[in-house]
Amino acid sequence: MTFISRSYGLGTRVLGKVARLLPDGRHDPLSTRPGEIGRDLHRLDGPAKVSGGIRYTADHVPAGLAYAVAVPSTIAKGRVTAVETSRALAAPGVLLVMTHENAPPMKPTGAYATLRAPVGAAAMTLPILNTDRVFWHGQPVAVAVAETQEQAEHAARLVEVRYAPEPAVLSMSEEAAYTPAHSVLEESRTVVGDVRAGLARAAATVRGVYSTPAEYHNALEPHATVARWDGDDLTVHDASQYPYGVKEMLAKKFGLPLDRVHVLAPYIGGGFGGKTCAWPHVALTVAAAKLAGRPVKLALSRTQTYLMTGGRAPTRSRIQLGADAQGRLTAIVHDALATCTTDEFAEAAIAASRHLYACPNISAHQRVVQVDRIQNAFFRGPGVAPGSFAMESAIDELAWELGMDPLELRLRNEPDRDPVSGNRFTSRHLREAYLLGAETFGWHDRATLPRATRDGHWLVGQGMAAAINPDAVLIAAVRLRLSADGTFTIHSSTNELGAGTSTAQTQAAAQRLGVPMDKIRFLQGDSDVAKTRIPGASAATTTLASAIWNARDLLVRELLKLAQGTPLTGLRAGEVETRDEGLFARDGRGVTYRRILELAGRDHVEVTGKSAVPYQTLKRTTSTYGAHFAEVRVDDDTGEVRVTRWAGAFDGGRVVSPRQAASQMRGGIIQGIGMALMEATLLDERSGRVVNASLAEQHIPTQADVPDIDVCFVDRPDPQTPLGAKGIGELGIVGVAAAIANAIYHATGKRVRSLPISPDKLLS
Amino acid sequence: MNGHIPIHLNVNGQAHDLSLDPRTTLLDCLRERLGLTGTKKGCDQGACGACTVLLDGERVNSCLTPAVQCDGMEVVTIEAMADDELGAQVQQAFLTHDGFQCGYCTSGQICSIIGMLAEHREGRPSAVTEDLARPAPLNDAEIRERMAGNLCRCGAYNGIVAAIREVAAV
Repeated sequence: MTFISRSYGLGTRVLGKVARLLPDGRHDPLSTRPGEIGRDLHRLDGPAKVSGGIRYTADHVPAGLAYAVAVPSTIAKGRVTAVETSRALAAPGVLLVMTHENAPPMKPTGAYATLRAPVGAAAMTLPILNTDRVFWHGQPVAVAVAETQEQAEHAARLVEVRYAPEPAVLSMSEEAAYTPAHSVLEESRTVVGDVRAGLARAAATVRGVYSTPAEYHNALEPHATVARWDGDDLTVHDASQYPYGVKEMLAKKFGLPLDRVHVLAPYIGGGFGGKTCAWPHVALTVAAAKLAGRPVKLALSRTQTYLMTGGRAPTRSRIQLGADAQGRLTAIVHDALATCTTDEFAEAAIAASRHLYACPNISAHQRVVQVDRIQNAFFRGPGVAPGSFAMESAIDELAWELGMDPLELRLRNEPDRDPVSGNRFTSRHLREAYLLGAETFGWHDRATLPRATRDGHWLVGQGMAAAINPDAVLIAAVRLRLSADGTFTIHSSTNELGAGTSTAQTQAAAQRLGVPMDKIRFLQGDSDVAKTRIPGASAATTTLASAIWNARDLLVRELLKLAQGTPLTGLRAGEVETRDEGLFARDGRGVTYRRILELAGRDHVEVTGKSAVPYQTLKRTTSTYGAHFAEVRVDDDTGEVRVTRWAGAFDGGRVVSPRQAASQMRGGIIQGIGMALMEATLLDERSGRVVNASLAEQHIPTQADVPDIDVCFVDRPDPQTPLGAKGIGELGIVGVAAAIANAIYHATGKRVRSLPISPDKLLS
Repeated sequence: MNGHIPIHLNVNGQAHDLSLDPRTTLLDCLRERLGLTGTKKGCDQGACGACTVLLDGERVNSCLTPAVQCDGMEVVTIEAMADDELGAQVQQAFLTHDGFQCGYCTSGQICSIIGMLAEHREGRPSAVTEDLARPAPLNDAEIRERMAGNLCRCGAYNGIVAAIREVAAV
């Protein structure tokens, strides 16, 4: 362990003690009140989406637009010795070729993903196209700009790059592994109790090595940027989950004041974490627009999304578990390894091992290997999704070893406090989720032995696994505007990834302000609204709700000032309620919003509300939970696996928008089915080249791979979160791969410990 | 002139006389030349189905279709779907059954459904059709197989099947 990681560990322990003195989360009165929250509604942006009416980034075609195409490097490490651009420049319609020799200077920025300097969305610190160095295979080494997309693509192929290659580190070797100073959202090294003693007194033990490959988000919308300079004003449409972070990054890189940079991303075509960070092409588009003196659009090709944006790091986990004869865990040992780059974004595969089960002896250790690849990225359940495959498979193996139902084993190890910190939970209803899921699925009907159910050449089995994901409230501000006609506009920098944010926020705000939903317009994805740091992290619902709650309180104060000479005179903010489209005291006195503005002669009132500091999440452990129940059929002759039934039960606090929430859980489960059975980004470890950089060679689940999926929620409000809700965007994928691996074991008697579980692994 | 080729294209009932680079795909022609950005580019390789449009009534991946090959043909895109009785039903069913999340694959899904239903009406079999001599009922397995060319990464597949069930039952 390095000095830095020791001090980090010490620092977090001291902080942990201090944090216990902090206040709990402010109880949100809305969290238990019936109303718009929890109503089953269609998406508000639905009509626009089913008619092709939403404009995503690449749909913008400003006047005078030029098209840019990036040229990928063909070595993993070394130097560019020459870029021959004359053939490209001579091709029809070509405006320029940008290389490291003529690109405008772009100041280095911190890497957002490391969370050490969480300012700006830059994916990496590396100075792409301001250096002759090559850091990975597929790095942009030139950008061709032309009048049309076809001409730019042709020109990019005519650019000849010569290199001086150097040896690259491309494999995840034990020898190069070290403990990172900081793993994402988890401590890198945890020791509780004495695992040796715990294993020694165990009645049953299991041990295994589990591996997961590199995986990609594969959002259907490839990354794209459209940049336009007007003097020193820069307007950028970007397929980003984090518009404010892109604004900060571009301001820094191009030496502009923040208020001259405008980033717009109202809608994006799927993110899943892949659009949290701004990958190098974003700044390169801006630089190309500067050189060209025209607006420029750069849309990555599907192939380039695997080269010029990052994905989930591969992982390898060694797990050892011990339990007494009653199934109570006596030891958990989890040593995890993942890759990262020089920016050291360490995905923590150890989360499930640290927080899921009560156990007096826990040793969890995350190590990393730095490789010469594009930096890895946040991807739905970073660390915890691959790590839970390992842990939840091992728990299943332990259940077989003990001769105990895996559901019963989990119920016997459900903790009252966080097993690592000893902190209390803000709320935890995993037990209810287990029982709800088991009931929905019909778990208790399953055969007690593996390989016991056959239907022709199909072997049938059922498996289960738990899900967990950290919950967070982050930083956001919203502008709330009340107009003279009694309608509200809410401006948010955070945008709609497809999760239903605009619908959920409109529901919650309607109840918060006491107006019907059609009186509220929710506008999103404009970086100029206010400082807002919600890059994803399943945090949009609660963070925006917190900001709107604050805005509501500020608005009430403003309106009471304006309402002198009305029945509201003399009342304080705490004495009025926002209901029936106005402010009303408990005795029924009140005035409508419209009337208040009319009497005051005001056209509108506007306030800016900020999300509250989430002290409760420092003081207590706050996570979301779930249980997956899966049925698979495995072809005994070919090894083909079909998922035929699914039930997922989840505890995500109060459910704000049930239809959208259920759809989001299904989406996570379906990505998990892909992770379990087919998804892998293959790297040639000699050259650093991605071998299967296309959707034809890198499979994700299709319509034909997915059964009807039952989703249910415990739906109990968390007493300490805004709306009583928690973020559920990532939870659905966690544990899915293990549930499938466990079902495959039940069907076939074969335990597969490496993902994806392709047919060859079942035929051996 | 610059090797461009003149073509006549009817898009959503509107006639267009265009002079096109032979490399231009039908997808880029719709999006960049005609401003019909409702059709999306997901992979530009024919692997995802986001760019599906109807070409003389057949569903095609417009990213794999050179625009100059469509001379004299009729193209229907998502922008005209509300004017079609069945198209409007599918759109409504997508809203009812939450057949989408981010919306990026939706235009292609809806165009594909129109084409798929026509194929099924004509009695064309799919890879899972058991009896090739008889028209297959449009059960869930048939729907899933016939729509397997339209990827949805958000995972709205269940809602899409429910929407098709509803429309096909009418």
